[in-house]
Amino acid sequence: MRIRLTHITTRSSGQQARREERLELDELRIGRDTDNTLSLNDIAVSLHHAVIRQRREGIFAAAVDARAIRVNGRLANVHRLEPGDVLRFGEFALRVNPLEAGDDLALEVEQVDRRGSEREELSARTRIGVRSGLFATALISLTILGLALLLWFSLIADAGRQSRSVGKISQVHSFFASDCKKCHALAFQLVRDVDCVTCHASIGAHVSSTVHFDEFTNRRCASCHMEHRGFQGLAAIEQKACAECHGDLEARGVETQTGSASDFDRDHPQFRLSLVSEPGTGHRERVKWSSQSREKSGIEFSHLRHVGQVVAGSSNNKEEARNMRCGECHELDATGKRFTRISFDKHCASCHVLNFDERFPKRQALHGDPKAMREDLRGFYAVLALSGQVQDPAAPAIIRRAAPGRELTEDQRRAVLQWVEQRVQSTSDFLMNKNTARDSRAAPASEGACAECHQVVRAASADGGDGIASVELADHWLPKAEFSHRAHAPSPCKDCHAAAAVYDAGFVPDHVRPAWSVPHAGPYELALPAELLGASGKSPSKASSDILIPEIAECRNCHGGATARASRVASDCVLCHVFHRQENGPMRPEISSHAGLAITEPRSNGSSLGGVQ
Amino acid sequence: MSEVWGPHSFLAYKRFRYLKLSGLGVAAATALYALDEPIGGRSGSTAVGYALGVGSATLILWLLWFGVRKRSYRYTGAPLLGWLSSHVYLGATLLLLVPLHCAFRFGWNLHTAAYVLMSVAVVSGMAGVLLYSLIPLPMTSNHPGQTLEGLLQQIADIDAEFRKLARELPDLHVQAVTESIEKTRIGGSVLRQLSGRDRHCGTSRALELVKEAHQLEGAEKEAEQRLIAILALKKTLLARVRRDVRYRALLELWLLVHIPSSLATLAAVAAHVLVVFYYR
Repeated sequence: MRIRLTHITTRSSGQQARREERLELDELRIGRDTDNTLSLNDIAVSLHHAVIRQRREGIFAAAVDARAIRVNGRLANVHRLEPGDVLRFGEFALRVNPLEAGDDLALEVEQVDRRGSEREELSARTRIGVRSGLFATALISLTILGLALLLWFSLIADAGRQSRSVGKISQVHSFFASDCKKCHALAFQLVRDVDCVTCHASIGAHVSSTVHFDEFTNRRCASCHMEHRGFQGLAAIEQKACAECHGDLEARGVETQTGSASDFDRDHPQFRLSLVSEPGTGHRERVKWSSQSREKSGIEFSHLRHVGQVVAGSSNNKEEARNMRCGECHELDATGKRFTRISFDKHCASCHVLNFDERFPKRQALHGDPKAMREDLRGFYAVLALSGQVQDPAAPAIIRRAAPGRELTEDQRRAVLQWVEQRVQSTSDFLMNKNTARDSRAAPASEGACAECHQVVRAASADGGDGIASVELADHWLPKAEFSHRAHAPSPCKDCHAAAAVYDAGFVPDHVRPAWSVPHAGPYELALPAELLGASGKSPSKASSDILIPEIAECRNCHGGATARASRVASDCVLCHVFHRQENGPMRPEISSHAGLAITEPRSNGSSLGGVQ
Repeated sequence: MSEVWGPHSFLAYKRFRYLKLSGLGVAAATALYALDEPIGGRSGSTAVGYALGVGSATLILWLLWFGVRKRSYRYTGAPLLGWLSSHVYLGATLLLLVPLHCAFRFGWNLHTAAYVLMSVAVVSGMAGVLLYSLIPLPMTSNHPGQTLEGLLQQIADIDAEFRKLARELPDLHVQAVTESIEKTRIGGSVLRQLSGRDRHCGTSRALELVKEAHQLEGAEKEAEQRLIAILALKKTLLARVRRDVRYRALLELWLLVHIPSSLATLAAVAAHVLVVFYYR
């Protein structure tokens, strides 16, 4: 295709210049890009706008990038060129001229328009882009304002204190939660123990002050007590916190008798019992649990003889006769953890009567100190003698026939005293020494009533008379652990103390048994000896020296380790053990005293003397 | 999909080097978090919590530095493409790193506010990546070989032509032409830019007006025909321009969220760190 292309340019003077070029090519490409045959420098022209090609039917112009070309004021995709046609490309006009010889096409290109103000006017109505304008201004202003508010509120405003908190305050501290300085006394410093001790001055130390263990002493309160976690109490004590040290105390160089433990189920030593070894001294011997262990409490007592037996109701308040159950003597204390002391008056006296004179069946000897008992007897017999009520044929006549207003001679007085002393001595012997086998409950025959339960020591009393060996009942065999009997109440006593809860149906005391207490209607939750034997091979407890507290294996039947699932109770260290032990004194004595705070006396360690009163 | 996913794109930079690095980082942080069982439970104040916090804060500073690097043409280190690739991938990891730092403890407080702001920044950045992967192709095919300025110039040229044509036409048509010239707006409010069209477009109305008008005769008829053709062309051009404006708005809009929220994150994180260490 041969093309004659004429460029017409108009100079500023108005003079027109023509430049002709002859082209021979397959197609004439028109566009803004410089690689076009006809490059038209106008933004309104597409890079590759149109193309002119020769076909059999003639020469055609077709749109390329542009969706349409403008020919003679109309739009067309393809147009067959005829002389006189005018194609518009932006400011440029491309005219088709009449052919001359040798040419296939004659074209004339001229910049016909100079743009006026339309583009500026369009610009005035055009707003493109979102980075400026009301929206962007509003968005950025709001962001800045919001951020400023956030920072002001959370850093400066009093009302925004909560927003500085990293989490919910524990329930126990929530009453002063808005006063950050209560704990965070100094800026940029860790919460100090002194700020805890301000309120918690009396909190007990974990170990006695004689134990020095840097790794432990250097810990802060906040090492374990984590605030802002929303816990009920803020001590998030996990087993591993304990096991960190207690897992292997020896390896950490701690001198202690405490065995290492890291999990109740997997790694915990057998219980060590604090047993009474020398009654009356308060001394405890810590021994590893063993069925062979024996405690020397100084008292004779057979659970088998007592449990399940019928006790007569006291006639005063007309209680009904009933079977003796565990709770008859073992009464829970106020904490529900352990039991109140066994007391003779309360728990024994209704059956173990200490009457000593057939004529005065309700007169009981004093229980407790033999010397006091003899003094009481002395007074009793003296009054008896002096008031002439003595009916003993062996007594001096002056005693049997006392006449009012008569003064005693020295001999008579001596005879009275001698008789009184004789009675005191014989009654004391009668009560304290069991000469004949008699049942003490058959009133008034209380012969040997003391020896029934106590060991009588000859001439051991302060008055030279017979004394009673010291008695001391431990009220806590595992003082380093907490155990709540009340929490275990759903389980009957026999589940743990089987040997103590044996019901001897064959034992028939003197008392008449109510119908409901005959065999096969045995008292609630007591076992017959045969059942016990069948279950565990243990024998019923007949002596107070028996160890009736279960060993660790029995606890493990129900209590698993910290991660126990399903059938067993998950039990971590703190279920039984208390970290802060007041018997060790205050946790931070150095701080407590610095702060001039009252330090409460360490409480007794709970192993106070039990005893029969 | 466009070049954004292609082998030479910033996403595939150096065979997804930063995607792998981010995956590795997230896996390492998750493992660290899962294996650590501190006394009292996981939180921002345990050793691992601190480590993740310091790491996240450093990452935030480094991500913000991209804003500086992007504008620095004298920089001679790693290419901007690499910076962008790492900016995108490492930035996304923050969405998980920060919850791991605080052990998923959130609340109505400054600290969570900082995380929310950071999330807005990260998510808007992801939106940006998505938009940059979706838009360029349809944007180019919307007006191949032509720039927006070119399209606008064509429209301006049509307006000029209208004025010439109007001399040959009766009043009603002149009114239509005037309507098309003066009531045609391009872009405008953000919503209108995003909509990509204009319900009150002067040109559309002009076209309706002319079509409703009486048929003209003779020379006027020919002028009318030309007017209708040019109005139709202008309408097509306007549709393209408005689509283009819409694409441009979308490409800018996410940045309008991304940059302020990023800077706000910086401020909030600074406040978070200050508060956390003030109340230790």
